[in-house]
Amino acid sequence: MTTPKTILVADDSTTALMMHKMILGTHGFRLLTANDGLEAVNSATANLPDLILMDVVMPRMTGFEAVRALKAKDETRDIPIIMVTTRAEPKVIETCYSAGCHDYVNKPVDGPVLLAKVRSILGN
Amino acid sequence: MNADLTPDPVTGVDARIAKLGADLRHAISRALVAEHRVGRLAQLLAAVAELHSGDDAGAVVTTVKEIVANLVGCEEMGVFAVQRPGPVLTYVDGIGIDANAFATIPASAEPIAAALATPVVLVPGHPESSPVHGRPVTACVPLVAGGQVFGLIVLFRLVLQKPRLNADDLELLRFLSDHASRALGRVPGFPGAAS
Repeated sequence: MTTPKTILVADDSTTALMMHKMILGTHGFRLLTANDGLEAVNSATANLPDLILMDVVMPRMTGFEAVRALKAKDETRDIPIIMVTTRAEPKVIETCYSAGCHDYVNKPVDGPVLLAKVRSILGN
Repeated sequence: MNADLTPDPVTGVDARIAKLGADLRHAISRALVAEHRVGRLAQLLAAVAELHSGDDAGAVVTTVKEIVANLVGCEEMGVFAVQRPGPVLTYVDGIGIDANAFATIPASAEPIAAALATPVVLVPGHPESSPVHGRPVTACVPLVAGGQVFGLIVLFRLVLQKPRLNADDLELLRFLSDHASRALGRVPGFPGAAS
């Protein structure tokens, strides 16, 4: 039996966190949550998840700031990150990739699309 | 033995492969439908759990905003209380709209008047044709107690990547209308919510 992959979900919306838990948790992933960017950086450093799902607009530290902080650390720079964006504008998407994200999903999050991207990155 | 009646082994294998391929495509299609449904159920469960966990009107309204933003895809919206007599709609909370500009909405404005007249989710056919304070209305979600509308969740523009509401969104908005009304009726702080 394989060890379940761990996904860190960072979002300041408890509704969004719960929805991600329900979508990903029911498909065998182990979920960690963070309520803002700073908490996400601390949790990722401590737990080294297999993947991070990062909201953009969060208090204390935005998603983009958190991504840059994670990419600056040796121990976390290789963790793949999917950005969860509200605005599907080219500039925002470009910022996602230039910050070091592997992929992005738009809000409102479509469950099958999210699952497909997660599986693709995690290789299962 | 007539050679024409003997099954061609190659053709037989080809037929089996074709059948297996069709079965696989059918199974994948069913799995995708099931995953979509699981995603929708996850949304509804998350929404109802959060709505009913609020201890006061502010917490419930915050959850309403999160649901509209994260699950529907609308970041220009307002929650309004219906003040009677009048009636007039007064701003309670919102996202992406100026609270001062939307401090009140006359109940006579279309499509607000239609939304107040019937306690069901209203989606105007032509949002641009009847803007409220200059913003097109995508949907009006009534908050209802005892058959009377005591509040409205008004959705203005949807996020860029979402051209219109779909059937899943309408299901979610009806769900939101029902559960937000009940949640607000259970907690203090929202005018007219207690049935």
